Amino acid sequence: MRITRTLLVLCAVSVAAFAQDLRASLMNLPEAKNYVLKRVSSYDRTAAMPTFERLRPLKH
Amino acid sequence: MYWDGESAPNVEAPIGDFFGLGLGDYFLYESIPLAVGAEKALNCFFPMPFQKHARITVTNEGSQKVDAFYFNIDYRAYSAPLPADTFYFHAQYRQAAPAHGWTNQWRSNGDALVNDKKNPNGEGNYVWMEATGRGHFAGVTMSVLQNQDGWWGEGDDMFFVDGENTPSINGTGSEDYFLGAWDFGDHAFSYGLFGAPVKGDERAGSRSSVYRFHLDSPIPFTKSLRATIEHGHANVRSDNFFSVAYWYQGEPHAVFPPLPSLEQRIPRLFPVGGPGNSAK
Repeated sequence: MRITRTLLVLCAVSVAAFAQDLRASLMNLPEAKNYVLKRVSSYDRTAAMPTFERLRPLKH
Repeated sequence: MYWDGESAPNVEAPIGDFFGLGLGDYFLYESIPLAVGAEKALNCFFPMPFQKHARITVTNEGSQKVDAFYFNIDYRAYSAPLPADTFYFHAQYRQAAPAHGWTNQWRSNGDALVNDKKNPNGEGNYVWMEATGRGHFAGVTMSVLQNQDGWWGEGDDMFFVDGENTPSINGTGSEDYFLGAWDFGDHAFSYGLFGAPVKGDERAGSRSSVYRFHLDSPIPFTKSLRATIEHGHANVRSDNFFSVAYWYQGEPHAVFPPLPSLEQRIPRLFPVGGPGNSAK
């Protein structure tokens, strides 16, 4: 029970820290960024409709 | 809004749409940069830096008097100038009413006629914003009034960075870009960076409002950016789109397209044909 409580508190702290980071990101928005944004995606490379992958089960 | 003596506005939008309230609707929601409280309280937390001068104007284009327009703008006054490369805030309203689909001879989103259509270069996409210069894309609020039945959001987001012919950032569907999935189910939701606070039924006449903010990873550009989304897969649908895009950039900025007239901005259905639409 104590471990569970500790984990819950850690999760709550992590969520709060993430929210805090995002608010800091808001204030940093006017600063120039020095990266190129990339995305890994299942989008259809032929530009057609199926924008997903099919996952076969390990066992048939 | 005009920063540091700009003659063309850096921000131009209908006031409701700027705060994420599209289609003339009023609803409560909370995101990190924008939030709407009770009652008729529109709040914006985007930083809007300027060196020496800022001018913010509001125009009543309606036919009725506004008797009580309250505002508070808090700002920080620094003793030293801001770094010279500090970007300025920009926001641009756009609409396509309707966004014309390439055919109305389809029965459903899964129609083979629709599924086989390809759109590799974003031709005919709904454009959120186009910018020249250096900056980064921070997000978009968007509302859709459906002219046709079915799910409006089979269109993919496409970002063309620095003059690309094909998008280096290409999505899997509208609801995915707005960080929901599977048509959002029947659920409206509102979080710090994304939400669909209004989710209509999937039929003609329905209204939806969505938003996405890239505070975690803004999309940088060094020469230009064209931020777009398809209206239906490969732009087959003919619904009405209204949006405000938010970004930061150095000056000069590209002059905005003319703001549509008040009459053009009023949401209404159009006889575009297709499922649920009476026009041929």
